[in-house]
Formats: sequence, structure tokens, C-alpha cells
Amino acid sequence: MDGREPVANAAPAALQLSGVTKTFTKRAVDNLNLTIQPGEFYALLGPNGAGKTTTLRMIAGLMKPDAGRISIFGIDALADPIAAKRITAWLPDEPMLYDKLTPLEYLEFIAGLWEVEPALAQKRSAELIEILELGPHRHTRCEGFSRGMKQKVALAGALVHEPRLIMLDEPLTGLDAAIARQVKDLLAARVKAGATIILTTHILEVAERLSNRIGIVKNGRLVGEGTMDELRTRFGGSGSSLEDVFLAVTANDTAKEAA
Amino acid sequence: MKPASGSFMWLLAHDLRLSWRQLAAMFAGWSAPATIVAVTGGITGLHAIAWGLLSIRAIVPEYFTPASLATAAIGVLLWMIAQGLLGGTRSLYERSDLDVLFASPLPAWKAVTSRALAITASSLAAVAPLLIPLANTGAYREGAAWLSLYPIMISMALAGTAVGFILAVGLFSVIGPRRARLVSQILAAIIAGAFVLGVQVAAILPRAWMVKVSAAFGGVQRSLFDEQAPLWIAAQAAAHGDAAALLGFTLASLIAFLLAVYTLSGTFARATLTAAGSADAAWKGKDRPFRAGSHRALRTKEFRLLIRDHNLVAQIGLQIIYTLPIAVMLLRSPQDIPPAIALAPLIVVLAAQLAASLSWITVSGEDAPELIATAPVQPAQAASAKLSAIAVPVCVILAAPMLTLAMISTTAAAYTFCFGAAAAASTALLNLWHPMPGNRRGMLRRHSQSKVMAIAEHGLALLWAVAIVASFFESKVSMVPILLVGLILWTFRPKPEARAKAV
Repeated sequence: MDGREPVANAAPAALQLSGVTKTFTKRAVDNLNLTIQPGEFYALLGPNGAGKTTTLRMIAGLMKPDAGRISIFGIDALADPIAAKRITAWLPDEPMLYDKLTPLEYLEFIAGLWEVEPALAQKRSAELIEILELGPHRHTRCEGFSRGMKQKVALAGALVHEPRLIMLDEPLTGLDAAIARQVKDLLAARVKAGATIILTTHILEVAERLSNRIGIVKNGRLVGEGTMDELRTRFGGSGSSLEDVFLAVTANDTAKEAA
Repeated sequence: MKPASGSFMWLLAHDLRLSWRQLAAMFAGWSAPATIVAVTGGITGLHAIAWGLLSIRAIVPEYFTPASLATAAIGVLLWMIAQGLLGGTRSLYERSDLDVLFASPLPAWKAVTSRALAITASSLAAVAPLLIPLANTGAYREGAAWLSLYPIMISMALAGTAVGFILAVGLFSVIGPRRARLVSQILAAIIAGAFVLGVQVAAILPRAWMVKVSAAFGGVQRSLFDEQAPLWIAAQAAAHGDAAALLGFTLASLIAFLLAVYTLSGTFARATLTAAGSADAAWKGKDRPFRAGSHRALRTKEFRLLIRDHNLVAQIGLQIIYTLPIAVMLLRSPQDIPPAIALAPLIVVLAAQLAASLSWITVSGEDAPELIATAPVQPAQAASAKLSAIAVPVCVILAAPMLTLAMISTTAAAYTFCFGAAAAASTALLNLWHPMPGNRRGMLRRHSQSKVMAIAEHGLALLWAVAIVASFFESKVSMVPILLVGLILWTFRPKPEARAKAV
């Protein structure tokens, strides 16, 4: 067992979406049902405009679905958003930082927002800064940082309150190999420690290497889901890569739509 | 007919389209009929004001001497230079599509000239609503000579952009990218306000000093305001339709524009590339214990961001500097205005404006709104923390004039405190109820996002000022402006559907 097998658990699901629907000018998310168990690393894949980011934004409480239910560790996220937000973290593709704050001040701010006890927050911040090799820059304002550095600071912010559910939207976009490696290692360690991660990415190698399960959405609908082996069995063949599976699933769906 | 791709006209059309969209964004969210009614009403109203001005001119011609016209022309030109400086600096730092244009096979002069013309168009768009009605009404009542205001306006915008561009590139080259932005903003504000400041300084100087200054600079004053003075050419052309003067001024402005932009295009292109990554990263913090609580975290964050924002500090400083001479003028007024009545409305207006600026910065200029939205904090709690963060700087800034007022009259100070607090709360609420997301660097330009909000904000400040003056006279009339404030706030109250949208 390499630790990436699906997690069986009788406790409430880390995340449960039931019939979630969202329409802008066209339907972005269409009656989406999704269950992620505690301790899972779930990769949500799909072509551009498939509804991945909209789904994550609804889970993060940034927008309300038109229909459906969102439950996070048994908490109804629509009825009690504050309780749900207390145990979640959201990291968008563009880091949400303040240029005039230093990384340490930023972490203090986030810890304050999530009401983490100051001494504990300071200890966790020091650990995250060390793991992400931000030490020499911890007192430098973020305004001069590269994109990779900013992403590392934002990731530290997402983890400083030790969320149980972490949502990451394209966390590795634009990062160089060394920084991407640090981020992947840190995420893997968090899952090992019991956190649940849902991540969207266009880098299929990341999904294949890190995730327990993969969901593929297209036009707002879940068109394929399972472990890598299950997806291979259903959509590819032995030895096929995630790229082959992904193309097969999205092509199948297109063919079905045409039919 | 579309201009050929890659031609100068094609590029100009691209830049003008972007400027037009920015202008049209002011009416975003308005229905087409509402926009048409507002624009038509605005145009009609401005023409009526122009008609009124020309009527006054016929009654009291002594107020419309060549010198006063020349002074107005200088004021407009200075304002346009400030716009050119700000526009040039903004293009240097924000760059936006300039990177793409400079990386393309197009020569740099095309991109820079086109961008400079877009800045000229923006300056024109700001002045035109005031001058075009004057030109049209004047032409109708007094003859076609008034139509010369059209080419004069364009020439002034070209000349202003040329000088502004030279200053922007010059500052960048001399003092470097890190300081140039801040200095150019201060310089632009001083240039734009130079005329008003000059008049105010003259008004507050002791009489003996004024005699000395007049003796020293009388020659300069005469050469500026004499009918034959170069700066008078524009006003002369406007007033008399003097074709030679008009042609001379237009040609001079056009040549100045082309020379400045063409000569500096290479330097400008290099400067935009240097501006990238020139952030002020020299500041270093230090270790200190973390503190607890979401309210405190939000307040501390806002404090830190406000104090470290040099542009904001400079802009607020200038806002205060501009009002100080008015206070001195009122205090030295020969009409025997009691000092308390002179100071109190100014403090109230300043409180309202400071609160409006700072609340826009903290609410609309929030750099990471989604971070706050995903935190386990109620929106009302976040808003209250932000508003409490701006209360402190407003109080600190107004402490000195409030103390001065308290020494003159404690009752007046108590009244001013209450009215000032109410004025600050009303403009802050307006910004809280109707956030207009934007970059905090654009604080001074925030009113271009919505003219309606701008009018409401200034209206609230003025109404509170009128209310406090009326209350000093224990007049029941003071209830009228307060009721009007209530009416404005009621009109702008957040609608239930807007509240429902917030998760």
C-alpha cells in the first residue's frame, strides 16, 4: 500500500456535494454529486471552462449555488458558512497577498482571522517558513517577490490554521521545478497528517502522482471518477497514462453529446 | 473603412477604444434609457450654466477682463500638464499592453505617440464638458468666434501632454523608478493646484509682505497678464476669434507634442521595462509576538497598509494642505466671521472627505477580498474592523485643528466633534454600502468609477458643513441639511438583493 489507495471511513465525508448547480450566462456546474473522504487527496480535472474553479469557489463560500447541498465534515456549508470556513482553506491560482506586509505579518494576519492561539500560530508559522525556505525573506515585504515566492507565502497562509479541508486551485502554475517540488512535498505531508485536499490542475503528472482519486468534469458534470487503476480499466487500458484517460473521457463525453 | 493593421491609425483606434471603454464604465450597471436621460440632462444643464455665465458677463463685464480670461487659461493649461504627467507616469508603471506592443515589430514611436494621444483624449474628455457648452452658447449668442475654443482646447491638451510627458520621463531618469511615481504624483497635484494654492498664499500673506512681493514680481505679473503676453494668445484667440493667434497657438502646441513624444519615445520604452520589478522592497520588519483575534488582525493589517502606503500619505497630506489656507483666509476675513464658525465647517468637510478616502481604500481597495470572504468572519464584523481602523487616522489628523477650535470655544469644538463624526460616518457608510473595487493606487481617481457616488460624497460633506453653521445660529434651518443627508443615505441604502448576494 503506497498510501494513495482510496480511504474507507465511516465518519462524515470530508466533502459532500449533492446536486450542486450554478448558472451564469450558461450552466457552469450541472447537478454535481461528489464525495471525498477524510484523508483523501482528490484531483479535480477538466478542460478549461469545465466548472472546476466555480465548484471550488462554491465550496469555499465565495458564491452560493443555485441548487444543491454542500457538506464539509458534516457541517452544512450553506446554512452555517462560518463553521465550515473555520476548518477549510482556499488557495486560488493567483496568490491573495498584501504587497506591503512581510510573510510573517501575513501569517499573523491569517492566524488572527482564523482565531488561532497566538503562541501556537507563531510556532506553526516558524515551521512553515522553515519548510518552505522563506526564512531569509520572512521580514521582507512581499512586493518584490517572484510569483513562486508569493505562492509559497500564500500556501503557508493556507496551512497556518491547520485546516481539515484544503482547496487548491492550480497551485503549481508558474512555479519552477524546485519550488513545485517543495509545494508537492508539503501537500503530501499534510495528507499523511490527516488533512483532506481537493486540487485542480492542468498538470496531469501531479494528479497522477499525488492523488488517491481523480474526478474529471466537463461542462459542469462529473464524467469520470475513480482511482488511477479504475480510470485505466474503464477508459484506457493497462499501461495507459492519465493523459490518455483524460483525453478518452473528455472525447467520449463529446461523442455522447454529439449523439 | 478600417485602418490597415499595424498602421499608426490602427494603433490609435485601439488606444482610443480602451479609453472609451474606461469612460463608458462609469455608467456600468445603468440601463440604456437611464444613461441617455443622465447624459442629455447633464449636457442641457451644462449649457444652461454656460448661458448663465455669459448673461452675468453682460451685466458685470469688469469680472471678465482679459486678465481673468488669461488666468483661467493658465489654470486649464496647468491642469492639463498635471494630467499629462499623471497619464505618462501611469503608462510607465502599469504598462498593461505596452509590453506586448514593445515586443511587436512596431516601432516604439508609434506605440508611445498613440498612448500619448489617448492621454490627450482623456484630458480633453475631462475639460470638454465645461468648455464645449461655453463655446456653443457663446457662438449662438455672440458669433462664431467662440467656436475657436474647440481647437484651443485640443491644443492645450496636446501642449499639456507634451510637458507632462517630458516631466514624467525626466523624473524617471533623474530620481529613478522607485521614487519617480511618488514624486510625480505629488508634483502633479501641486501643478494642478498651483493656481488655487497661489491665490490662497497671496491671500494669507501679511499686507506688508504683499507690497514687497508685488514690487519684486510686478514685472512678471504684468508680462503674464498683459494682452500681448504669450500666455494670453490662447485667451485672445478664444475671445476675439483671432485667426493668426489661433493658428500660431495650435501649430506651436502640435509641434511641441510631436517633438516631445517622438524624441522621448525610445527613452519612454526603455523606462517602462526598467519600471518592472522596481518595487520598494528595501523595508525590513522584525520579530515580535503574534497577537490574537480576528478584529485586531483586520485592524492591524489596515493600519500597516495605510501607514506604509506612501502614495496615500502624500495624497492625504495634499488634501489637508489645500484646506489650510482656506481656514487662514476665513480667519483673516474682513467680514468679522467668528473663528469658530470659520473653522468648524472646514473640519467637518475634512472629516467627511478623509473618511471617504480611507474607507474606499480599506473596502474597495482591499487587495485580497476573497481571502477575507473565505475567513470565518461575519461580513459585518469585517466591515466594523475596517471602519474602526480608519477612525483612528481621521482623529489623529484632525486632532490639531480640533484642539485649536477647543481653545477658541469648547462648545463649538463639541458641536464640531459630533457633526464631524456624523459626516465621517455617513461618507464611510456610503463607501461601505457601494464598494467599487479598484487598485488602491487609484484612490484619487476613484470618482471616475462613478460620478453619482462622487456627487453623493461631496453632497454629504457640504450638507454637514451647512448644518453645523446653521446650528451655531441655533437655526431650525439646520434640520433641512440633516434631513437631506438622511434622504441621500436612504436612497443609497444597500438593496435587499445586494445583501442576499453576499454569502
